[in-house]
Amino acid sequence: MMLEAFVDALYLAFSPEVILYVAIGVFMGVTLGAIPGLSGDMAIAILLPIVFFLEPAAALGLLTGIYKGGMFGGSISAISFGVPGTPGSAATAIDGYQAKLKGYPNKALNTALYSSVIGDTTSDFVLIFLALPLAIVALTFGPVEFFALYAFSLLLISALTKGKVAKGVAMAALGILLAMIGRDPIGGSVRLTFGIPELSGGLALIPVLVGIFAVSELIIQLSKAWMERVRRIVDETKQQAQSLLGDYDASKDKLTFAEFRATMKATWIGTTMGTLIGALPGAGSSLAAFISYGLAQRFSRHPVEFGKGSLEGVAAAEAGNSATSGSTLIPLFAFGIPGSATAALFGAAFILMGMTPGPRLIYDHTEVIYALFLILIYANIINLALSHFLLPLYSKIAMIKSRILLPIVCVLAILGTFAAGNSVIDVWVLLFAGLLGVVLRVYNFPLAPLILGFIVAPGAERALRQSLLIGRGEWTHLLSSPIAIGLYATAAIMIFTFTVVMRERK
Amino acid sequence: MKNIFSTAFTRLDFFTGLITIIIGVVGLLDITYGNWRPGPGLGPHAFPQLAYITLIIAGLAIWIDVLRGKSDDPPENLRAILLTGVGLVAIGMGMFWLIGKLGLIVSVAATLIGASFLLTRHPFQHWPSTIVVPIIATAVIWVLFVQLINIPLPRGLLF
Repeated sequence: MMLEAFVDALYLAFSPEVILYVAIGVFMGVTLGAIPGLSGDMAIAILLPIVFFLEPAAALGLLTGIYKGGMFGGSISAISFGVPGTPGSAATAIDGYQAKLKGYPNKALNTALYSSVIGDTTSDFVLIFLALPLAIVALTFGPVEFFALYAFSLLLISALTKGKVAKGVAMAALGILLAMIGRDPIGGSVRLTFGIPELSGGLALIPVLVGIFAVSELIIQLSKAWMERVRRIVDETKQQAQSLLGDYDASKDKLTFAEFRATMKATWIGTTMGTLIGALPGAGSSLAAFISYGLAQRFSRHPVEFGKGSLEGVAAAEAGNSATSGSTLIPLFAFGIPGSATAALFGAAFILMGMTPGPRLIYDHTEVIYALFLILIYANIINLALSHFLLPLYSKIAMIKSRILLPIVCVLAILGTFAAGNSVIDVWVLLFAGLLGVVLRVYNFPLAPLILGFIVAPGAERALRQSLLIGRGEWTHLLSSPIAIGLYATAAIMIFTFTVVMRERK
Repeated sequence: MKNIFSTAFTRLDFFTGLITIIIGVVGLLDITYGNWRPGPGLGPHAFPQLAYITLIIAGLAIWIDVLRGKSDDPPENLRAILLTGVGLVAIGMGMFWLIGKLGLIVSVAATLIGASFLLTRHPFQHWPSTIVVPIIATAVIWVLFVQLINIPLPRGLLF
């Protein structure tokens, strides 16, 4: 049975159509990730409605390609201009840009590419080997355990997101309230619709996700373009880049095997930390990159070189950033809980294709999930090959002025959202979610807890109310399972440990 | 100590905390006095109630952070960002309305060219990026949404 599913998955994953979609995805991801202000996550959000019209394997191939490409793409503008293309590549910019100013951008870019691919591939293998056993455990869960799991992830994501605990908790609560709009899942009565009958069906996932993540970022970038800020940054860096060309010797700027080997320790530190941190809800790739960078510096033989163009610094940051990519999907596959923005976007894609994320996902759609596992691995190889040959071109892509692309991406978001639900209300929700996202971003509220709150709230509410129905209204019933107690205790210990670690880092 | 209390009111996060608390209190008042139907078990109001209480606690925690001297800096260019936001909502809805009147191709092309002109200092000098790129993008969008996905957009007078 398993073998049969694996053979089917092989056919699915290696069909020419799917390989082509993966390659297109990688190209799009690197391109968009390289342009400051646009990111792979944004591209996934914008394309979500479109995947609805593709075969599941092709759609997942496209999204995986964008994700992998976007992870590396962010480091191109970080190294080329010192402007991180994505938040996860901020740590790469520290040493990457210095390396470029010292005249070896190509070495830095190649180091970033290799460490990114090593981190990413390792993380994918961890996902593949952990998701299934964890899903088997999760299949034994009842409402009490599931409620503990939802509470665990909400607590963790609120507490870990950028260290702003109070604002994180507020956002998780707001996400829960947004999810409460519409029908009560148990009694069926209508809640929080403010008298608007169209809202009685609840807010759809796509417009909320695309609005909060992509449209809000687009609005901020558009306002920057309007004030010509982005242009100034690029102009300055363009001038610096040109000033370098005078004494830049491309023949000396090639990564040697000895240099690559010297970065391996940093790469593995980044890979380990990224994989571990990526599996935690809310910790995110930028935190993983910075922690990896700090640790690699501590264990390096040349710690004083860090911050001055160290290739080890680039490798650690980039491996840490990319190694979150596979492990961030573990909670989604095992429990149906997205631990990061990207996992939420993948979760939304599964829902769009009629597959419910959770422990049954692997059993109910074995071929598709196995195909996704295979795609995750070979997308890294495509990323490596494509990026290796196109690196010289990619550095120029980062010079494309985002003001040209921003209006096009906005139109795509609006039409795509309409296409997914054929509903004008969805377009309204998208635009207002975008405005809400802007207000939250400018006042420094983290968005990931809001999205997680929005996604897990219906399940959490059902689990809590079912638990209390079974426990005849006794709240102590929530502590009747050792697994639940273990999850609450683990959450408390992890939040305490991370708070102490974050304080020490300051 | 007195100094901390007197400057707290000028901090940005004093207001973000205040708004968080107000949303929580208004929500709780709505649950107490509003039209909520009872339901099996905890009832439909219980989970929102939990969220509102959490909001109030989070708002108070934001205030405690302010008193401890931790507050985010006021956002830069807030007016420009919010104006862009409102502008985008208006343009987005306008484009959608226009699609019903003039059709997808004309509306999308007009929106993209208009936006490029707004964002470029000398739009006619940069005509490849302000006119040609929007037209090519419109063609790609038309192929994607009309030919491949076939979304049921209202047909306009033109294309």
